[in-house]
Amino acid sequence: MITQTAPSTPRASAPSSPVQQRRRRKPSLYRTFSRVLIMLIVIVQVYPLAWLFLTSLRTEHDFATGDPFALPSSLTWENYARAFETGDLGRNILNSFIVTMGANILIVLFGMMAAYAIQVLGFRLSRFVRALFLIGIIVPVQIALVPLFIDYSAVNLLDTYQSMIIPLAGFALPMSIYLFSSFFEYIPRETYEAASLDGAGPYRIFGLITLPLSLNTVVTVVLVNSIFIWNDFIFANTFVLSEDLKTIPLGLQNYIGAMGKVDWTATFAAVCVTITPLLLVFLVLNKAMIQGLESGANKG
Amino acid sequence: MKKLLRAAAVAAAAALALTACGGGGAATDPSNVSPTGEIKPREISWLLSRPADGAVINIMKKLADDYAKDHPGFALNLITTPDRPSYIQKLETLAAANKLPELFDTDATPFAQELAKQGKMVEADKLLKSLDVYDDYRPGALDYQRFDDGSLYMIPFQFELEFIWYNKALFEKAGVSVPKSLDDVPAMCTALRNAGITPIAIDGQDQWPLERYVAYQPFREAGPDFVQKLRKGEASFADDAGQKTVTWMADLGKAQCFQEGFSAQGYSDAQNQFTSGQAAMYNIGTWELPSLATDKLNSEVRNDIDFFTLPTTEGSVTSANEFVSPSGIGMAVNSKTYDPLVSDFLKFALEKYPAEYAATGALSPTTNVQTAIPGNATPLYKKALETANTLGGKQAMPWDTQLDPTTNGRLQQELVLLVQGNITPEQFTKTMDDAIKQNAPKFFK
Repeated sequence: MITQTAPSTPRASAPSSPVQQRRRRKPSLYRTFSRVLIMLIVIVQVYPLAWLFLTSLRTEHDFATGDPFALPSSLTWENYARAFETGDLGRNILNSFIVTMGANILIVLFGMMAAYAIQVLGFRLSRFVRALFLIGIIVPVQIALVPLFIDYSAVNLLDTYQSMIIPLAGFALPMSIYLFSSFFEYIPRETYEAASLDGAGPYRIFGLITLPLSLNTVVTVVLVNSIFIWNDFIFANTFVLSEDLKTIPLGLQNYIGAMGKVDWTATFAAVCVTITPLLLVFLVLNKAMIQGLESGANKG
Repeated sequence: MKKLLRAAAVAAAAALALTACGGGGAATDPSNVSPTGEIKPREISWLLSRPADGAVINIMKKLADDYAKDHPGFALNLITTPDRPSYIQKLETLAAANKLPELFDTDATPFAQELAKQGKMVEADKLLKSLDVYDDYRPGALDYQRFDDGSLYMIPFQFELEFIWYNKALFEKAGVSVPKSLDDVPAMCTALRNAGITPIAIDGQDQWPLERYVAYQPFREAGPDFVQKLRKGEASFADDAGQKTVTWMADLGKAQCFQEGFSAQGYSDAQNQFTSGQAAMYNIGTWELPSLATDKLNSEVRNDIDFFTLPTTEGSVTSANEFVSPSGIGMAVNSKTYDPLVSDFLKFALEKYPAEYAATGALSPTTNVQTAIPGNATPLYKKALETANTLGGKQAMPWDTQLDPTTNGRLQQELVLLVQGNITPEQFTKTMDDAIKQNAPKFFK
C-alpha cells in the first residue's frame, strides 16, 4: 500500500558542465508512455483505498446482497455512526499513536547511538557486537511472549503502554541499527577529523554532525517501523487486558459478532477512520524524505 | 570490562530477586466451593470471548453494577477478545504464566481438561449445587460443557438449537419435500439443481459450518460416542460409521449441494443467499432468530421460510429430537482466586442472569424462565423456542470442539477438497486416519 524508499546515500554530485543548460525536448511518445505508466501505478495504489472508502458508505444490505466491488447504490454515513457506537475508535487511535510514537523514539534514540558507537567510534569487538544485534533479526516474536508476560507481571508492567512499547522497540532495533550503521559508513571520515581538530568531543560530534546529516535515515527508519508497530496485534493482544489501552487492531475485533459474523461495513468505516492519521503522517514524512535525499554532506 | 561485569552481576541479582517475588499462589482445593470468611469487595476480571456488544456482556455488566451498589469497591472487569483464535492464544499465554483471572471462558477442549486436571478450575457441578441453581439448568446445556469423563468445570450462559431452515416455495418449485432421512439429501440437491436453485447456502470461509455436516451421519449411525473414540484413534474413518459420512460428504459434493465457490464465501454471504430467495436450505442455530424469525427478514421470502430439525437415518441410534444443541463457550472459575467475594458475586449473578437473558428473546441455559418473544417476531420464533422443550437426552457435539487442534485444522481443509471433488473418499479416509494416528496420542495422554 505504501511504497518504501531505501535509505538514501548523499552522492557527491558529479561536476556538471556549467552554463550549458541544454533544454532538449524529449520525444512526446516517450513522455506519454511514462505518464501512462505513472497513472497506472497510481491507480493500482489508490484503488484499494478508494474501494475501502466507498464500501464504508454502502448500506449493510447493499454490500451483502450485491457485488462487493460494485458502486454503492445509495450513500450512507450510518456505518460510521455504528462504528463509533460499537467500538471506542478515538481511544484506539490515541493508544496506537502513543505506542507508535513511544516505540519510534526509543528505536531512533538507541538505534542511532548503538550504530554510532559501532560504526564511528569503533571499539574492540565492535564487529562482534554488531553481529549480535543482527542475529536479533531472526528471532521470532512468539517465543518472547510467555517469558515477557511472566516478567511483566513480576514488575507490574502488564497492561501498560510500556508493555507494548518495549518489545516493539526491542524487536525493531536490529534492523534499525543495521540501517543506521550502513548510512554512517557514508559520512566521510574527514568531517569527523575536522570536527575533532576544532575540539569537539564524541557527543558534540554526534549531536551536531551525525544527527543532522542522518535525518533522512531517521525518517526511513520511522517509516519502516511505524507500519509494523501501527499494525501490531500480537503484543497488544497478549499484554493488554483493559479496554482503555486497546490499540486499533484490537479495537477492530469488536465488530466480530457471534459465531464469526462480522459487521463488514462498520469495520470498513472503522478502518477508514483509523488509517487516515497514518496516511497523513506518511504524506508529511514522504516530503521530509525527499528533502533529506537532496541534502548532501561534502560538496565536491 | 570490570565495570561491565559488575553491572551484569547487579542486574542478574536484581532479576533473581524479582522472580523470587513472582512465585505462584498457594494451591487451593478445586472442590471447596463454599469458602468461609468475610466478603472483601475488590475488582475481579473475566476474560471472555464473546461479542463486545452482545447480550451476555451487557447483562453481566449491569448485574455487576447492581452488585457494586451493595458492595462498594467491587468491580467486574470484562476483557473480551471476540476473535476465537486470538482469544485462545491469549488464554494459553495467561495460563502458561500462571496469571489466569478470576473467571475465564473456554470450550471443553483438551487444553481446558489439562487445566482442570491441574486443579486450576473450581468444580462447576459442586459450585452450582452449592448455589442451589444446579437443577435449574437444562441437562443438555450442562452436558455440552462436560469433559468426556462426565466432569463439569464450565458454566453455560447460552443455549442454542441448530436447525435446517428451508424455503417452501423453492422446495415446491423443484418438487421436493422435507427429507425423511439424511440419505435423501443428495437426491434433493440434484432435483433443486435441475430446477436452477442453489440447494444449500453455506459459510465456507469459517469452516465450522461444513464441519457440522461431517458429524451428522456418525451421530445417527453410532451415537455421540463415535467422535470421542475417533479423536483418540479408537475409531477411524475406515469404520462403517466413518465410511458412511465420508461417502455422504462426497455425494453432497457430487450433487452440487453447496453454492458455487462456497469455500470463499463468508457468514453474511451465505445468510443473504438464503434470505434473498436464491438458496433453498441454510443450516444455522437459534442465535440467528432475530434475523430469520422476525420482520427483519426480507419480506419477499418471509412467508415461505420454515425449518426442520436434523433428519434421522434408517436404523439410527439417536432420535429425531436429538441434534446439535450447543450452549456456547462456557465460563470457568479460577480455583486459585476463588474466595467468599467471587462465590457471593456468582450466587448473585447466576440467580438474576436467566431472567435478564430470557427477556432479550434468547433461550436461557436454564428452564426456570420464559423467553420473551419480541414484538416483531414471526410465528417461527415461538416454534423454534418450543423445540427446546422436547429435546432428547443425547446431543450431537460439533467436532471442532472435540478433535485435537492439528487434526481439526486438517479435517477442515480436507473436507473442502472432498466436497469439491479434488480428492477421492479413499484418499480422504487415509489422510484423516493418518492425521489422527499422528496427532491424537500426543494430545490425549
